Amino acid sequence: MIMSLLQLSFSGAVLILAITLIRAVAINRLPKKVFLILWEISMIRLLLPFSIPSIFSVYSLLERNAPIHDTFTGTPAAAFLPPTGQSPPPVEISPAAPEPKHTIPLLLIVYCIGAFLIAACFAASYIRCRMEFRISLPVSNELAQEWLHSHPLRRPIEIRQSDQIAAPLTYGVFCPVILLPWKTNWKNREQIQYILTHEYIHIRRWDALTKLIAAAVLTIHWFNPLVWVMYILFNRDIELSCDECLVRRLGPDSRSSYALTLIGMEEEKSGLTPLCNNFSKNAIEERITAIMKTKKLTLAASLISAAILISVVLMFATSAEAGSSDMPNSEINTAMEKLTIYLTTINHLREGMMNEGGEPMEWDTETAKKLELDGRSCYAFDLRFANDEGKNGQMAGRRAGTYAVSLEGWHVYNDMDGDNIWDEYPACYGISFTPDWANTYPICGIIRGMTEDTLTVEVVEFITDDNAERVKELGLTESDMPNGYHINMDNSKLVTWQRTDQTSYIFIDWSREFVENAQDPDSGWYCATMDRSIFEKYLSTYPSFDEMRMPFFFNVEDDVVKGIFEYPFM
Amino acid sequence: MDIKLFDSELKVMNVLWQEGDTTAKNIAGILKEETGWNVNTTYTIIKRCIKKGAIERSEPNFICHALIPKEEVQQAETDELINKIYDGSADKLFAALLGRKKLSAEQINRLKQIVENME
Repeated sequence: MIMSLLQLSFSGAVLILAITLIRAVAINRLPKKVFLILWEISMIRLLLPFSIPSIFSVYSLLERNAPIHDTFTGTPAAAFLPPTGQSPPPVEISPAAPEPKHTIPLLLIVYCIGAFLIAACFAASYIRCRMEFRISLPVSNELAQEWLHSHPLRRPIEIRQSDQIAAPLTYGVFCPVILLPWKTNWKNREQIQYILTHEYIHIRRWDALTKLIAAAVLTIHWFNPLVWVMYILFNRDIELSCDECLVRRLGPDSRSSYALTLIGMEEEKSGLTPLCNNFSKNAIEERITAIMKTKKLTLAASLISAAILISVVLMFATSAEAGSSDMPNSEINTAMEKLTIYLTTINHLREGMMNEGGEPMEWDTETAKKLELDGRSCYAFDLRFANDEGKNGQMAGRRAGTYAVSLEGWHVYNDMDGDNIWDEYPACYGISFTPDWANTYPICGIIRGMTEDTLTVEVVEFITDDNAERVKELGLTESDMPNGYHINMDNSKLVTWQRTDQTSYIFIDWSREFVENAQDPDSGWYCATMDRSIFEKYLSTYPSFDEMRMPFFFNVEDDVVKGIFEYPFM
Repeated sequence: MDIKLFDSELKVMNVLWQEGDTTAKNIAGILKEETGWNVNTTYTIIKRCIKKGAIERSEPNFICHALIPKEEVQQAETDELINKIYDGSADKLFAALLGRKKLSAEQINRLKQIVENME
């Protein structure tokens, strides 16, 4: 299942937190390679936008202990949780509460600027360094040649020297170059061996590449402080693991002389600057201590490492498990979303189907099936009522029929009895009226123009006689509002909104031309449709836009019209 | 005159001292063999030497001429540049942003103490 960036970042952060805790407890007790692998897993988790379902996942545990489903739509934090394998977040039927979505474009801009700055910072530093390294000079002494000869690798390694650097380093992924400071003392064979072996291990492990990947992860997740923690600790652990590998290669006797070599290089770098800093002090102290504590790899340590790796992956890198299926998840999700939109719009005025407040619907993914109806490729699911305490507790979990929707267009089918006989919902559906409309369609206006994807509306004030305060303010008398309402056009303004394929239209079918299923005498007054051409046809029964006086009510979110509703003015 | 040159710049000067006045193209050819530098790299360094007043370039054919004898040149100290390019790796750039500074003599001694104690 596709995960959003925030969900990715959140599940990555949980994983990083777990690794940081394990690291704090066991950094000198386990092979350092374990931590490198753990960091790499966290980077894969942060990069791959798919959730991997597992019953061992912490999120499965959470789900078992606390009904996340119920709170999913309520708490903002729940939105960061990685989605379960396939079951979608149940959608609140009530479209009444408008979400403050205006902040999202701003956040997106801030995110992009941040990511750009970090990327620019990395790129500038990288390019600058490569320019400086390019003018380094090749080393051609006997010791270097001898060492290169005894350390063959598929990739050609070069050893060069430069007076622009203070400490040895390696650059280049495919043509690695070991760059040594100008003042390198080639007579100290032991030190040269340590330095070259250290860099050789980096090259053999492709550390230059993983560092670049880590930088990419940081650029993408720059807003997540735990990803910064991962970046810093990962870079430290690369060195720790490299040191450990070197000590294992050269034997435990090399520990102190290697540590002293590193300290000596720090000393050379420092001169006599009396500046101190806790961050670097801790890092180098951690490194020296780790080198001195390097032990032989024992069977017990290997087994514990394997156990930790497996359990961390199963618990934190995965998400809660849901029913499995070999059907493409994205199509299933699109179909479920479509059905929810359709039924929300078409049914929310129908009595019996939903209660007034809107009961959460839940699609049972285990019943998902692909089928062909009227030659159209469709997906079908069972609809269940989610637990809705207090209101309709007895309905919880009840199957509310099977629905199918076409992948193309808006053809919706219903199989109420499970007898595999499918009734197609008419393009235009007759529904009856409930007084709940005012919450859903809060904006009153007169349509002044329409294009393929916009709607121009003169927004007016709609006052009912319940609103005593406003009635008094405007000095309205009973003669102004013979039907209990008044339309105030004094402060009207013209706005243009977008409309989409998902815009719904509910209008009064005065002459019953539109509704196809008028068997029910109560239905047929109201016509609900997702088909824009039907609404356009209906509007053409009214006078032209300039002369239009009949108001409609609109549900608008982010300048996109979700739905249009016509009130039965008599 | 007191001119300080880096190792790469000295490498270019060496060619001029050995070969005498010659074209930039010729220097690039020789250094390609010796150091693997491409033509642009060599030209960049020649430009730096011209800026420092170590090389003069004259018409015709842009002949390069060493303005100073070998004996007057000193190997430049690199401390400033080291600080600028953060040892050459991007992660150390961030370490620098987080305040990575040089260690004090006290800290160095402490580290040596750790090694001694744990041996």
